[in-house]
Amino acid sequence: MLPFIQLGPLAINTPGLLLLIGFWLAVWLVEREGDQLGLRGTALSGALMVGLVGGLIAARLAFAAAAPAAYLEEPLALLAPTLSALDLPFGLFIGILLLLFDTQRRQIVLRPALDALAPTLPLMALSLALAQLAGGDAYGAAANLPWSIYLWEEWRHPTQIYAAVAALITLALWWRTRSAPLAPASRLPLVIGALALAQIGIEGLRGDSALVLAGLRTGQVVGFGVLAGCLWIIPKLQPAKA
Amino acid sequence: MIFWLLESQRRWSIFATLLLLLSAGWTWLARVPDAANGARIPSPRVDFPAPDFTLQTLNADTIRLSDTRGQVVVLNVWATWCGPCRAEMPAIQQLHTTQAQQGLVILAVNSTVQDDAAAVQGFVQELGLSFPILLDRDGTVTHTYRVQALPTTFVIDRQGVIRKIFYGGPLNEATLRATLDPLLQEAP
Repeated sequence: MLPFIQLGPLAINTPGLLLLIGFWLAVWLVEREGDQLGLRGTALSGALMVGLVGGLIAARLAFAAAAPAAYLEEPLALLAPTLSALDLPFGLFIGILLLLFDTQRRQIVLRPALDALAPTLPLMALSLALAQLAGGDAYGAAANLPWSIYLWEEWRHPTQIYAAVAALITLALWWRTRSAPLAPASRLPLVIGALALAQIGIEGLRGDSALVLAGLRTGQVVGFGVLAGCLWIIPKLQPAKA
Repeated sequence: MIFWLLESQRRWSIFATLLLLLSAGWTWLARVPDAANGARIPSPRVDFPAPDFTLQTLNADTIRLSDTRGQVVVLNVWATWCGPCRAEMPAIQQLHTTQAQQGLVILAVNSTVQDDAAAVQGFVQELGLSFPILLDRDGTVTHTYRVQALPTTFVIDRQGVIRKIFYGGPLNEATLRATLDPLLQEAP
């Protein structure tokens, strides 16, 4: 666990740094893949940046909407660099909408663009897992295994490492299917499905899961729904055989 | 493998069904038994009951977290040497002044285990703080709440459940009110 890297008087937040590196790599990979698929890579990475910035603005505005009077009295508070003051689900929703809208505005063909965006997900999942390992978040249930890690006063499943390995396997799966004759836009549900399957498996070994009814873990229930959706849509995207 | 499965609709259906059945089985097996009985173990996480503690204040009074049940609590963990902690104190003091009548309790836990107890009094006087300053001399609260960065601020609702955690700072009044206003409007 290394939540901060101290460089003299400067304390660098390691999870934040890892997420930033992950996003930078994702933008680089999107540009590369975009060019490979005959799209304009820089235009596609530009759309990704529009989605990120727009999503962040929306997340902050949605958070501020809970106390509009307070923010009207102190409008500069909207610019506060407090990452916890964000409505992330709303920001993610708006960010995706803006990304799709901007790809259309830039006249980028949608289906190959989705394929180009596919590897960003395992890459971000990898940086998230490493960020969680550095911050001690998303920790595993207590377990005495040869590969257990000591965290929060217990030997535990290294769930963050499992998640990092699963992200790498998903990245390898994407790489293997990269030049295969799959229909356009198939790779996105393929990597989402693989990540959802990993989520179902790993969430069950976590020691800090949020729960829904009857003790079921929220991450697994959501993962199950996403996996079912991906398994349904992948064959639908393939061209009908003559 | 994927292409081989996709070559036949029947093959894909069998594969998808098996995968979903295995996933559903594991999801069921991995459920958390305690929660099935409606109990949640106190934990320093959002939507979990805040772990209880008892600490002495700077004035040698004793404060127990569970005694504040029925009120909204801002639990701010800080230290005198921490710049962002100092910077956000005026906003917290302002909230204490304006919102205490509505049921807001500020508990500022000084992480004394990593601070100089003698400096705390001077800090409080310099900033004119009138809310309780709790001294975490042996680091029990800092440790139990898994505080990794200072300041860290927990917002606890009237039922004693953590509803929001702010890692780092400095927080401003508007940011805190965006979380506190809806909670203060909830019935005690």
